[in-house]
Amino acid sequence: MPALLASIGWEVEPTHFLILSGVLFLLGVAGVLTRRGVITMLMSIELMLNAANLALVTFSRSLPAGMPGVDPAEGQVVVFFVIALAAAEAAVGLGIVYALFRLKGSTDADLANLMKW
Amino acid sequence: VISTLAFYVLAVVAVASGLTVIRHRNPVVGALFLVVTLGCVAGLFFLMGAQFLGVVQLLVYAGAIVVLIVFMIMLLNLPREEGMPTGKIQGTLAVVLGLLFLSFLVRAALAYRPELPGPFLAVGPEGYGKVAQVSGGLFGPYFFAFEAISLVLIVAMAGAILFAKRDL
Repeated sequence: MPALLASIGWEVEPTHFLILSGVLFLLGVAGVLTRRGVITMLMSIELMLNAANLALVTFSRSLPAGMPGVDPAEGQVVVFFVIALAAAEAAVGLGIVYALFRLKGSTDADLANLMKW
Repeated sequence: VISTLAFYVLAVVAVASGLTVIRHRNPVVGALFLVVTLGCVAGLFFLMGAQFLGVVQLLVYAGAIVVLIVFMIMLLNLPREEGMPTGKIQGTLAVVLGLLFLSFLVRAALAYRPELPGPFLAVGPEGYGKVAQVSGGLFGPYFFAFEAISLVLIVAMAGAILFAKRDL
């Protein structure tokens, strides 16, 4: 552990942002795996998307500038698309939550077994 | 030094409130702490100089998506007990597999050592994160993807209406 801490260092490097992004992603995964409320699971998915965005911005920021074929705008464009898709996902996901609640009277994910054979 | 301090404060607050999002029983509290996490990530975007994305993050995520989630929670009038943590085996399995996965991610992150012209947060690429740069990408090589996104949004809107319709 001390060697790990020494290799990370105090000065903020891209590595720090990536580790933070990994931790946030893991929080989202744990939320989806351990919770039963569909809305909490949706919020955990948003956490995961955010962690991915953070990693993407870190990579695009730490690209070597001026190299041919390297465009720092690309990573940011992808993040923009991810945010737009997250909005679409939230709309559809909440529509499904509403339909589930109307059918079952609860938002427990274990009740969503309508498509079981 | 200021930006280093800001990074650590934002990181700790983001992780702590993210933990609250996935642990708290009341989904309204979870949604409010989700706003805190998203705000911290937006702050990290600003710290890295990605101003446009930080603003978009605040507007779209905190301003639209979380409002939609809170609206839905209040519309459904969910009881407090909603979203009880699932069984013990699943929880411990999630923690163990999660830590394993996290160790892989940390290894990968430690291996990422790009050559930087200076301190990471101080020296960035020219004009990084400005609206002009992002729009140059959006309306340049990614023009058709940008148009496809609008199609996706329309389809999602139609799908949400379809799901919420009482009788089909």
